[in-house]
Amino acid sequence: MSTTYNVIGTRPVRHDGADKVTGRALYGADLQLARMIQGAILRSPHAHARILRIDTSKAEALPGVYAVVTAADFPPAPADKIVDFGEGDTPLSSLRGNILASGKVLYSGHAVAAVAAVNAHVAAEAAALIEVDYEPLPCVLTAPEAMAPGAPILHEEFANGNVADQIRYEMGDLAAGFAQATLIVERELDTATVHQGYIEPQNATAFWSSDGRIHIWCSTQGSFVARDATAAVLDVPVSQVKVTPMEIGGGFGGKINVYLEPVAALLSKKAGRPVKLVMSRRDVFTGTGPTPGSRVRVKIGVNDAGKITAAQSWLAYEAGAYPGAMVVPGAMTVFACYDIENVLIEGFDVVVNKPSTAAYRAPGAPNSALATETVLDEIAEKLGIDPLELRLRNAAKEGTRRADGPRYKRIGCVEVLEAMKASPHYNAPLPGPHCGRGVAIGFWFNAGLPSSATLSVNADGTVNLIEGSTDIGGSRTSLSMQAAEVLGLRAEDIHPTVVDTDSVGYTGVTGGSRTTFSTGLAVHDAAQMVVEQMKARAARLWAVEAVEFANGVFSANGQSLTFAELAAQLGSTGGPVSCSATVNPKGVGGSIAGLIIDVKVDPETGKTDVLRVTSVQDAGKAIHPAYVEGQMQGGTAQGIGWALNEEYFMDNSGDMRNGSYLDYRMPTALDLPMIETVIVEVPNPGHPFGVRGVGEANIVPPLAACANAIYRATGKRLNRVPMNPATILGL
Amino acid sequence: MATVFFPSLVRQQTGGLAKIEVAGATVGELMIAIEARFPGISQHLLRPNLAISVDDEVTPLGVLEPVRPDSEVHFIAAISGG
Amino acid sequence: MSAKVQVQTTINNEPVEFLCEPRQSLLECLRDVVGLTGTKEGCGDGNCGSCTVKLGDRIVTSCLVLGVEANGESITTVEGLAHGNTLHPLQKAFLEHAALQCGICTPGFLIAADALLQKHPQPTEEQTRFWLANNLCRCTGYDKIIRAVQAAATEITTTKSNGAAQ
Repeated sequence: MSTTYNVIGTRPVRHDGADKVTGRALYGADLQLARMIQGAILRSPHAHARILRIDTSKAEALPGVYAVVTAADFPPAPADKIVDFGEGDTPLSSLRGNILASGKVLYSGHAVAAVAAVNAHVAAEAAALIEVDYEPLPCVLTAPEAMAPGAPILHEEFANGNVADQIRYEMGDLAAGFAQATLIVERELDTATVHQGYIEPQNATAFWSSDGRIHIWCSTQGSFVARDATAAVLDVPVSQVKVTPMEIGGGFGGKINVYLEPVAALLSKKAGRPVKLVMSRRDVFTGTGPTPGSRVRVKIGVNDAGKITAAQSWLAYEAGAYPGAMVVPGAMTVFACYDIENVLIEGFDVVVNKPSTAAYRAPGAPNSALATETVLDEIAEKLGIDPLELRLRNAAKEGTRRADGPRYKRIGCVEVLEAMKASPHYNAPLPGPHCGRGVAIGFWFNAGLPSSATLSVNADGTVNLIEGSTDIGGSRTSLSMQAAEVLGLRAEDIHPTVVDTDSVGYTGVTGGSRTTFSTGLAVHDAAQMVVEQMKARAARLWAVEAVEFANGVFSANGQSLTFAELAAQLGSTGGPVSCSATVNPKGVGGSIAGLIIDVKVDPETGKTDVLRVTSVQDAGKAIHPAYVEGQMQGGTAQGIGWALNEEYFMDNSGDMRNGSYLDYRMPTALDLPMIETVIVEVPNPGHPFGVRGVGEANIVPPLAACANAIYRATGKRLNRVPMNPATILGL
Repeated sequence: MATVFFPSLVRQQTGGLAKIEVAGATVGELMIAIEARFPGISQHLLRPNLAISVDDEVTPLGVLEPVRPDSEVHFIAAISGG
Repeated sequence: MSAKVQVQTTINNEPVEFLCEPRQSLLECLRDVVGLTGTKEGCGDGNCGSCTVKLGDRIVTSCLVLGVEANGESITTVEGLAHGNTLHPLQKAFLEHAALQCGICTPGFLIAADALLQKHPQPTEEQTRFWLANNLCRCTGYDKIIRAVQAAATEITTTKSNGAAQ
């Protein structure tokens, strides 16, 4: 298929660029409203404790304080109420419980009360005056410990102790599969809790008006999900809440859940003023959702030809305080890159006394791919086969059945592996001693979900685009480019605006790598409707039946008008043209990513230096290649940080001892080399331009690729991430 | 007849049966036939955190999705991502 | 609460006087008192670099400077980089090289990179990475930021040498 495009595949400057390099762009914390006051949250110092008493009287008495709230201020609702806002059914009690603790605190950093005052300093002083009597309880911090008999129980009402959920996938005959194997390798690997690390802390400003409407301004990946969650927590109809998404300073999955929005609303209701809440960095680490730590076992059998005959995995992920660890996608993806007949996968969602976990690019998949991809590396070495060749012999293809049931449509696994093999990097020699090269691949589903867009034609031939996908990495432009392609215009001729939840049709989160795919589809459909309406105008003008449209020109019977020329005549041919589309698409295309990484490990200090990195990913079709590269480079850098250094360092009492950027230590510019990229394009048949979505699969391979590179450099197969100097030196 | 696959943990309700062939024009019609054979099974399959996949694509129509005689129906975890 | 102090500064080449509490950071003064919200807060303890501004002739993380310390000083923030409607070469290079995704770290990177280019007009990749190591970006993996800074360096030196030659 060789479709040529005019706009798609080019690299225009982003529409919001000038605002973002001049400091004019308004992020959540930048909002200033008349009479606005500021808040602070009081958080639990205990990882597990019963709340015996909360006395807010001293805080309320402090001059400058307008309101204090606790869980007791949530409106009454049935104890067993279940809410569903598109992400599965959640008990209202858990949703509320994580926002303001009730009865027990379940992690150090758990929000207990909140204050609104004349400024943030007074609010913090007042929060410190709230007296909370706790009865400390024993805490449990890892999944294996929480699953052991006699472990402290977080939720007494659960049927199976701390195991909140269990998942199992099976296919074929496992015993027969392993019996056919001539080599079986089994490994168990642990990963630590890590944070998405977005630079902008969570924030929310709320105004609960006297007419009952609640207006929220916040940094969120999904304004409609934030609206629906806030409405659920406050037990009000969704139409009572309006969310205005401000510019967002990173999310990566961590800004889907709500933490502050309902609290700001409750404070505003009491104070009668707009209330702004902004988290500190420590609040972000201890009070939002990191992504789970895990223990994963993988056992793979192969025959002499290097064909996998059977594969088995056992996974336990730490959900944190409330159920919902990413063990389900971890289990679904553990063998998803491969065509395997005999499979058994068992996963456990385990609550522990840590912050309630959240998504982080391809949630759950890096943890499980670490085990699979290091076991395959070991198998390749023992069989004397090139590690990419071993993967090619087992690669998933169109028609391959995944362990969770469905068969793949067109999937780019072979193409990604071939691109890795052919890359200059893979064919270059290593620079010297103590160096090693590792490879790994990974899969992510990507998502569909509803999206909406409105296009309005201006008389000057430009088009306004109204949409609801918050723009984290240039999506205004990748969406505008799709409109421009259909309309025969330049990207600069489209003027995109991200609007509030009252002003556009329902749009799901900017997550699941879905925005360019799903909102792109809504934009595409709306643009096609514009073309049809404009054709009808031209037909009316020329008194003809049929009008052609190609490359931005309408024509019939030798007459022609450019898009701009016809746009100028809309007023006299029937009035303005404005078209809206809402989609809820099928046709989602999963993405495969691969990583090649060279490291040098200092044998004395155990420090790993990253020498060279190449990230390869199937984008389906890269609408704006620079943004696709950016996603690949960003996910790779995060994955390398996860692999080599990042972790929640918890002491035995469950206190996070490295809750600052200084001590959590994400990769800096000095820790990384340039990140080479290879965009593979195996078009997704489910999208008019072939888009798959690229935000996530790229973070899946780095953990395993780093582990494999470190093995090649040191001869050590490590069983724990982060592979920091202490792990490497075995300290 | 369309083939409906039961998730591993739901097979306790089916006596270990992994899949079944049933007739119907929509997923909903298949479910009525299955419920008749395994009373109570619907509550394990039609849940907000499970998506319905027909012919290898998650369908936003759920039980209203049409099926063909050779269709495959799976109940898989509803995943969006980060 | 304590009595407010009068602070006289020059911000982005304009005289600015403001009142602040002695405990307020320069960052808080710039954002909440003066209303220049282009400078961002990512951590509040000097480790992310989002609040980097130029104070006198050096760059500082403005969350670690008190507002009162800025008395008599000259400050440059991201709002002061462009000349009217003409973007600074660094700002242009960041746009052309797609060196920002979410954009929250961009103001700090621009100020830090501007200071780098004043000290080392043609920095090596290593010098650039070392200089910018106090500015965290979580979206880009730094690749496109480093390329943008190097492209801006070339642009500035070329423009200067062309100007000198004419």
